[in-house]
Amino acid sequence: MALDLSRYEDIEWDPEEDPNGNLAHCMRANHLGPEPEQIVYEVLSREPVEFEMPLKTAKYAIVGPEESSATLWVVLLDVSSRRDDWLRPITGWRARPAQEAAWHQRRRGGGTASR
Amino acid sequence: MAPATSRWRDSVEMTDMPMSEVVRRELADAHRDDAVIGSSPVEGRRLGQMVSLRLEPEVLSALRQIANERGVTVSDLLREGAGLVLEGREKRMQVLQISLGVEVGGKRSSTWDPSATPTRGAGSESFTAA
Repeated sequence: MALDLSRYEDIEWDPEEDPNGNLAHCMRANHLGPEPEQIVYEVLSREPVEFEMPLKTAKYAIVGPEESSATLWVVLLDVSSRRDDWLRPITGWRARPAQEAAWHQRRRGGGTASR
Repeated sequence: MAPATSRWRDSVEMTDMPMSEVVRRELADAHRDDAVIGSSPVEGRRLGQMVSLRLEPEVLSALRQIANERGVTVSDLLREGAGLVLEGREKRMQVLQISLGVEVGGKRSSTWDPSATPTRGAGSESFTAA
């Protein structure tokens, strides 16, 4: 762990037409929905919390709120293979209870998630 | 058949995670509810968005020519095009707001075409934006 966002400049997205690309994947309803770029941007720019799960499937896992603060989102990120100052979203979803609790604990000093 | 970009990406082996991105997505998905075993706050940062798009060769060639003539990049041209799309939407929104204001308020504005008779639901075509 130890995501230092000052090392990164951009977020890498594949063409929308690529069915296996990260954008088409993240746009699915059970992931980040129709505006994944905005969600990832807001999660990274507001109050992100990095977390670790028993099974590591990406370099970084973060949880954080969107602009309205109404929803916490999880985004898994890799470093782009094209440039090491680009972050590449792998997948994402609405935060689950354990991830919400981690965010509240780190950002609000509490251990319980509430919406 | 999957696009070349996908084939290329799927063949990449990451040093500590020698699985394709698609496989890792599926695994991550199946473990959404797992416990969190550690966490730490990260200082937020506004990052740019790198998007890529597929263009027909003729379109790209024409854009490249224009870009070279102007001494700018193709990306600059595409950003300019995006700006025009947003500007167009902004103008349409202004016209819509003006027409809605007139319809709801029942008052004439300086941009209202006096030859038109506004009625609720008549649409914005009766009015002319300044």
